[in-house]
Amino acid sequence: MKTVIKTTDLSKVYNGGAAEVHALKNVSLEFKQGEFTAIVGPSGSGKTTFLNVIGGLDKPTDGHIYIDGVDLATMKESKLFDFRLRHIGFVFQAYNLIPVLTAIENVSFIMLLQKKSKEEMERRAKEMLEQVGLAEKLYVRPSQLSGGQQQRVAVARALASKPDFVLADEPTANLDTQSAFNLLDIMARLNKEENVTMIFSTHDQRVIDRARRVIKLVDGAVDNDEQFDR
Amino acid sequence: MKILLTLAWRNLWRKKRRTFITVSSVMFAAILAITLMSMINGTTDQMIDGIISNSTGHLQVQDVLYDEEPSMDHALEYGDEVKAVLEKYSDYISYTVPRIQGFCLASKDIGTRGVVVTGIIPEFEDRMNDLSSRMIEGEMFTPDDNYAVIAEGVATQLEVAVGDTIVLLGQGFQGMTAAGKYKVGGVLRFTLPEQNNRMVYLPLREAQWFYAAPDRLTNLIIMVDDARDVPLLARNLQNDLDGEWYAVKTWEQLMPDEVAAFEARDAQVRLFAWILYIVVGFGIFGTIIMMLYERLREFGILLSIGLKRAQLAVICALETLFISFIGVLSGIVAGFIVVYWLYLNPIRLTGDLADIMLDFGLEPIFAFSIAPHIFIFQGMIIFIIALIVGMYPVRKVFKLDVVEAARK
Amino acid sequence: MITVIKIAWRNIWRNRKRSIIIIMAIVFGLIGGVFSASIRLGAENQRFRESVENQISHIQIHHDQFIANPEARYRIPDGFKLTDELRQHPDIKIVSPRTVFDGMIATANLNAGVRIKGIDPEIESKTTYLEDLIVEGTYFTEEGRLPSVIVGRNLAEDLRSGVGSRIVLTFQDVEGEIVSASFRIEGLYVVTSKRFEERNVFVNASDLNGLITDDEAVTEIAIVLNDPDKYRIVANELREKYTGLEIRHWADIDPSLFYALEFLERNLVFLVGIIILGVSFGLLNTILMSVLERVRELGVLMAVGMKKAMVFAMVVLETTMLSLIGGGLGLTLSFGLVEYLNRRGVNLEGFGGEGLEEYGFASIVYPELEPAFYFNLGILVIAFAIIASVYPAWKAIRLVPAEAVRQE
Ligand SMILES: Nc1ncnc2c1ncn2[C@@H]1O[C@H](COP(=O)(O)OP(=O)(O)O)[C@@H](O)[C@H]1O
Ligand SMILES: [Mg+2]
Repeated sequence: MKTVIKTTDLSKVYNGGAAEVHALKNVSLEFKQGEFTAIVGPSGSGKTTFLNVIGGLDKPTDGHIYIDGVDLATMKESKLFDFRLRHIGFVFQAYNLIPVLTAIENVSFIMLLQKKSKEEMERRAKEMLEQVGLAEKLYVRPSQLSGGQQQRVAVARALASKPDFVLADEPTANLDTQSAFNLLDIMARLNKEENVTMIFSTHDQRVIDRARRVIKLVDGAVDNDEQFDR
Repeated sequence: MKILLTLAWRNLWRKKRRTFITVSSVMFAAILAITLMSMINGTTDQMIDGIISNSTGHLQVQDVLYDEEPSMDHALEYGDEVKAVLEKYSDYISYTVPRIQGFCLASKDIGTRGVVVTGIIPEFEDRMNDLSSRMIEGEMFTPDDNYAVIAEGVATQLEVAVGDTIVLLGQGFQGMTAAGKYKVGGVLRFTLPEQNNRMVYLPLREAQWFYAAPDRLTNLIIMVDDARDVPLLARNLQNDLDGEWYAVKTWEQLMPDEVAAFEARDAQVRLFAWILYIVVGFGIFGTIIMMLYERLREFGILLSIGLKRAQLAVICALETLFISFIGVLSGIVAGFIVVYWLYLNPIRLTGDLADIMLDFGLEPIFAFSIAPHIFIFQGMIIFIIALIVGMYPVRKVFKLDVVEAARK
Repeated sequence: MITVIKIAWRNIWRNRKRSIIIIMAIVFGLIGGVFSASIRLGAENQRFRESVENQISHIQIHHDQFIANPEARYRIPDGFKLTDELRQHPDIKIVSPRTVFDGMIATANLNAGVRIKGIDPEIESKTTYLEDLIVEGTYFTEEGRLPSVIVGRNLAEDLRSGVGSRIVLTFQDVEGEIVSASFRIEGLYVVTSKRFEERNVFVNASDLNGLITDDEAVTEIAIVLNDPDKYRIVANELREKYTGLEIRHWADIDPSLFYALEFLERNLVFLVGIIILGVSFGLLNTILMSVLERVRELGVLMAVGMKKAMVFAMVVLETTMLSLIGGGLGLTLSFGLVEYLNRRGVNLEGFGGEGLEEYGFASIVYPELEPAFYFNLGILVIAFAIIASVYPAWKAIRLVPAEAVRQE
């Protein structure tokens, strides 16, 4: 399998307030095409920081991130925006839909920015919303969807533009158990069907049990990296 | 791009209350700026009108030498030539007030006073400043009468009453002696001491005869409907009249002191307008910055899922544009209602000031102007201020730290 | 209650940015309001000095025949005794006895009618501040062969003469005999009225000794009051006491000036009012926005069990504290600003005040303000801030917590 993301000696230091915080310490990892990986660890262990850094939202203090062999550190900001748009899908913990757009508009949004044709956009958006089980909610605004439904729209949006990989920061944190399982089912299925790499952070044991690879962070350093066959 | 427009427009409607507050801050700014300027323009016009109708009129035609040396020798000929020119511009001219005026000695028995004897047509004087309403005794003459009406101070000093006769002695046209005996038919009371102690009026025709200057005037006052026509009308009249004999003077040329006083006032009033603009600008700024503060997270998410900063900036700019536009438009409408109401129900003045104004024949009010340019111009200024202030979020978008904003 | 105060206080610190914006809004608003009001008062006092004090003084006393016949023979009986008496009056600051009469000024080939004012240079510089109005030459400092005269710049131009020119003054003595004397122009003065400049010349009263009479010859007494606003009261009081004399205050002497000044001042009060309204609306909107933005936060507080009354009290308290901080800071800063500008002056030239000095209008205004204004404006702004927080706080506590929490 081809390597999608590779990090070498990734470090992140925050100088917030009195003391320096070493949010990431020499993290060197590789992620292959089609992975379904959970980043786990207690709160404050650096999960969000890691996802932000490999997603190009934040710059590392030290080390490199290679995506398809390209070093993110060498990219200018405007290039980075484009790169994110084309290669990465994001799902956040909560409230990450655009409130004024309907479900289908939200899903189309990134494709629209990518200047895809109207027919393709609509077809793909509908297809993705069907995939996440929201075929009936195409024209509904986020405020009328439940938290679980909103996250499903977010997943559909992240995948619609066919990114190389999807980063999800605690996508189930705000969901009840049933919705959480439901969302994970969908993510796992899409991971297989679309063959897209998925990396998500969580500290929920039931979620961790579904991952095929589990990387544990403690105090910003990799504590454990295990593969499971499921 | 259409989606940016859609986003901007829907954002406005999503948080109606928020939009309403921002729009209303722009709206109030426009209302206040309009009210301020309407009052400034209204009262300026009012003061200028008052001063014009009580003194020089809008325009005067004089003999070219009269300004340098105001003597009867420099009376102008009011004949067909002048009348034809006035006729040509009759669309701009409301009415004319012909006067012949000179310095004379008035006496009765042993008393003698220096007075100003002015020949007038009462109808036009009344139109200009309601002269007849100053009558405290007797009656105003008609053009065909031949008696005098004198100011109260002259009457007191000469100890004359209505029905008595006074002797007037002065210089007539081209060295002729002007002398005449006139019955006093009425007494006028003026507010200004220099008028109350000096004025004597005769019917125009009689005065022309008295000064031995038939068909001549010292001042031909021209009143216009719209004071803004004055400079152009002055130029046109001057062009058409023989410049060797006739000089056309505007009230500004005739009263430089008053014009300077108005300018001094204007400078201060303009400073006030600037203070208002700054104050309302800050008000809008406070509102917008609060709104921005609330939206940083939303911005962060949009940026992290792939919207470019420039695109987000366009959304912000469009929102600012909508808000400013709606705010200014509603401000103009509301401002018009406020100002129109004040125009119909002006602020009444009281006390000594009101008494003095009534004495001057002025209505004791603060007048508001409803000239269209006030609404357009003030609306534009507030629109520009709102746009400038509203560019703050746009600039902020370019500096925003995406991670920082998204985790809020 | 103490807990609520504590929470409110901590909230202010937690939301430092928001707090700073609100404090800034109050500070800028106060500065705007105070600045405009101080300009108004500073300009009013300046205008009063330029037009009333430099030319007329607060009250003038004459012989009752003098107004009609401004001649030396109409002296004020026992003028110096009256002067000394008036100086004892608690409301009177300066009394200037003058020898004033009408006469002629002549150069070799030009002449003009003027009012000759014989003054005591030292007292006059405290009465009409004549010394400060000199724009060319000096003020009664030269001991030349000829006595000095100070004339208006405009008159000097009309006579085609200047500092150092010799002129002849011709007038009548107390017996009515014609007297002529040579003087040398020592200085030129400028006031806001060209007519005044053309009409009034000043000489040292001691130089008239022997020319008019060997006796004392006070024909005019000018009075400056401690409190200029009392001019009517003091004039009436003096009228009752000295019945034989003509006692007039400045508004009697020049009613059109009274109208112009009073009308403008009342006008400006309204304009300042509009600016303060602008300040208030800006504040209202900023605070409304800041509290509305917190609906979710307040919802969470209610959800975790905070009582509605407490939430309400907390929001209002926070704004109150902020407005106290902002009010204190704003008033201190604006007080400092007014004090500073009072020394430095505000130049109106940028606002169209160019060239006004030509006319004796200062283009620099020195702002000043009564202490009470700071207090009143402070109260007003704080009150507005509190009112502005009550509505959204009320709105917030009426939300069902679940609804508030869901709002994003
Ligand atoms: N902007 C920041 N400034 C300072 N410290 C930060 C910042 N962001 C994160 N941190 C710190 O970095 C560490 C890792 O945080 P984070 O990546 O959010 O952890 P997690 O997502 O695993 O809970 C924590 O100690 C956190 O306090
Ligand atoms: Mg996290």
